[in-house]
Amino acid sequence: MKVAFAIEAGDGLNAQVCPNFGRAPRFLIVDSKDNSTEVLENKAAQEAHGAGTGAAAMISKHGVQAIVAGRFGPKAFDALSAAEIAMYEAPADQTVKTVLVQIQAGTLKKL
Amino acid sequence: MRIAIASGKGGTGKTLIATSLAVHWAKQGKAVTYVDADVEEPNGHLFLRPTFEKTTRHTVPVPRLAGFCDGCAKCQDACAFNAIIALKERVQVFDELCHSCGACVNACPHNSLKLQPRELGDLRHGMAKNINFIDGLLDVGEARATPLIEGVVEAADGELVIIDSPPGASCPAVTAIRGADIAVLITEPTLFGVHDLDLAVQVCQKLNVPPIIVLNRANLGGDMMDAIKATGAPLVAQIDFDPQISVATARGELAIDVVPGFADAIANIADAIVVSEVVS
Amino acid sequence: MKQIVMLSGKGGTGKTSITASLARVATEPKVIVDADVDAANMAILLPGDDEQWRPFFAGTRAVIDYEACINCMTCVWECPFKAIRESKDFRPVVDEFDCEGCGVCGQVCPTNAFSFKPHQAGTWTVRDTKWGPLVHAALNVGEDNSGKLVAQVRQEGRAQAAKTGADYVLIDGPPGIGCPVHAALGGTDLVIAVTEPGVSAQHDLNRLLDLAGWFKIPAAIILNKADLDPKAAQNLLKTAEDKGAKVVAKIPFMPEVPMALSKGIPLIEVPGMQEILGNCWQEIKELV
Repeated sequence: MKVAFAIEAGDGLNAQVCPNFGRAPRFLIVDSKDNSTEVLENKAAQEAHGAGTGAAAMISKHGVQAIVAGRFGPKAFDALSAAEIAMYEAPADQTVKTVLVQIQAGTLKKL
Repeated sequence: MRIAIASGKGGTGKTLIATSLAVHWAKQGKAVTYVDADVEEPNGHLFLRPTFEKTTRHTVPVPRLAGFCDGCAKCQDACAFNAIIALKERVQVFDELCHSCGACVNACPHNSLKLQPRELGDLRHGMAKNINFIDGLLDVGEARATPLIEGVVEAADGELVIIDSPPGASCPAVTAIRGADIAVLITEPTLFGVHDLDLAVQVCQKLNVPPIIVLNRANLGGDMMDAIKATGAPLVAQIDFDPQISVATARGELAIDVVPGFADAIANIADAIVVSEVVS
Repeated sequence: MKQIVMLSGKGGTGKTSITASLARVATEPKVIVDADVDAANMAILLPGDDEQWRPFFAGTRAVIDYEACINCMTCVWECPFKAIRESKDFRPVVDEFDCEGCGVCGQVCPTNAFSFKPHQAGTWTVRDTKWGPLVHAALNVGEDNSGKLVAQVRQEGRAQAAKTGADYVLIDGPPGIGCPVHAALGGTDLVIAVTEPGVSAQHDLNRLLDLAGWFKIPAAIILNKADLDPKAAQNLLKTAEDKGAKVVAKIPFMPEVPMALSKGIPLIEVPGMQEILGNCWQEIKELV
């Protein structure tokens, strides 16, 4: 399963989750098969309007099955639901590694 | 002549003066059209009490999928407003973000997107005695006021059109003031009032609409004459605060009909508008 | 560091005056962010020295490469905003005020003469005030507030707070419940809705509290001009209770307030206000 994380900075499993989805500076995509990662700069964060839908569009193009952020705006929620991407909210100071373990163990609930 | 009644700040007395001017000119036998372009909070009808004769639903075009889609996302890439996203074999449109430009329609390689009307609110026509009355009423929950303001302003036709504009200096105000022959900016002698007046004057200059200023509640607050002068627009009339005007307005009465002396103050403004229009 | 955002839904409820007054009452180190750029009046109430103004960009505008342009005028006909016009010397000219950067001209141009450059929509800066740093912005006329600008001033607010060791970031939020409000709410610790008795304010309060609920942010209420219409005030208090929002202040209508504001005297110097807003700030601190 490929999981995307909204992050503030960094490029590895120790990066911290960003409080916002749409205006997160970048996304970290983790393939849970081998924990390989890929960084995706969030161009939508620079948009005047529609950062949430723009980011959702970008994420859905990358074939991820789930996305983690501090929280999702209403339009981003609609867009990600339509794209059938599972959403998880996680506290902003947690690391990607911690949250990934929780998702795999099924202890973090889907939105 | 098209006259926009505007102000930077809300609550300065735009509707009071716009409706009073309509009544003043109608009493002189002129054919007047009053347009309430403050579609988010229209209240001109509370004072002029028109009988509505025709109500139409105003629409804006938005894209809808009407054909084959392979999820190629060309529409998504073409949209500058993030208003359309491509899914597997369909698209999702976020109407609130859409600017109706049609770039997605042009971009679709299968010609599958069509622009279809989406309702924004009511456009109402009526008569208030011999005043031609038009207003717009944005649907509750609707975020895009500008296309309805455009519709309301375009619906107004006639020799003397008074446009009661929304407050502010952003898109809604710009849309209402654009195309007017003159803008009457209503302000009050407060720091906020004059700060926002300056922005309204700048809007008028950008739109090439000559602005004139009316100072309302002139006897309340501080001396703002230097700051008003600094905006570069002429101050043509002043109205003093009179509790009788506030009481009449709170009751939905026309102050021009019930408050002694107010009709003269409005007549002064009307004359000033006509003179300024001739000069410019 | 706690972030508190002041919102109102409806305009004209006294949000800016009250926010500026709370900034004056609170003795803790703090940063003030004016995200209400449609009526950026906070700077009038909090004097101080501004740093250099920095440009703010939002969206794009069309630019024509006249080397490539063949003056076919297709763009003039196709522009959905009528923002490209034919000049006296028969060339297409973009009106930057009307252009929205939609890109249709670029699609229809037969010679690829269009490019799109970032559009400067305004400026922003940091002001050094007696009550802490104030991050504020000025939009160019005719521009609308956007989520991006709110995100930018908030980001600078957090940076200032980290730099100065501030305990609180006090954000004066934009009106309405649209995109800029979403950007103002996200990641805050408390939403304070400044409201007043009346049907429009009641309607807007409902929508605002629902939005705060969506973002899972606790909400509190400051009821301004509380005694103006006791029945309407009761309705507001009922709404607040139903939605779990605590009332942190009830401010009576005082004719001295508009009088003071018209003279540029801060709300806090109106007799009685110091105590009301002092208590209000204590309540707010307990909530965060």
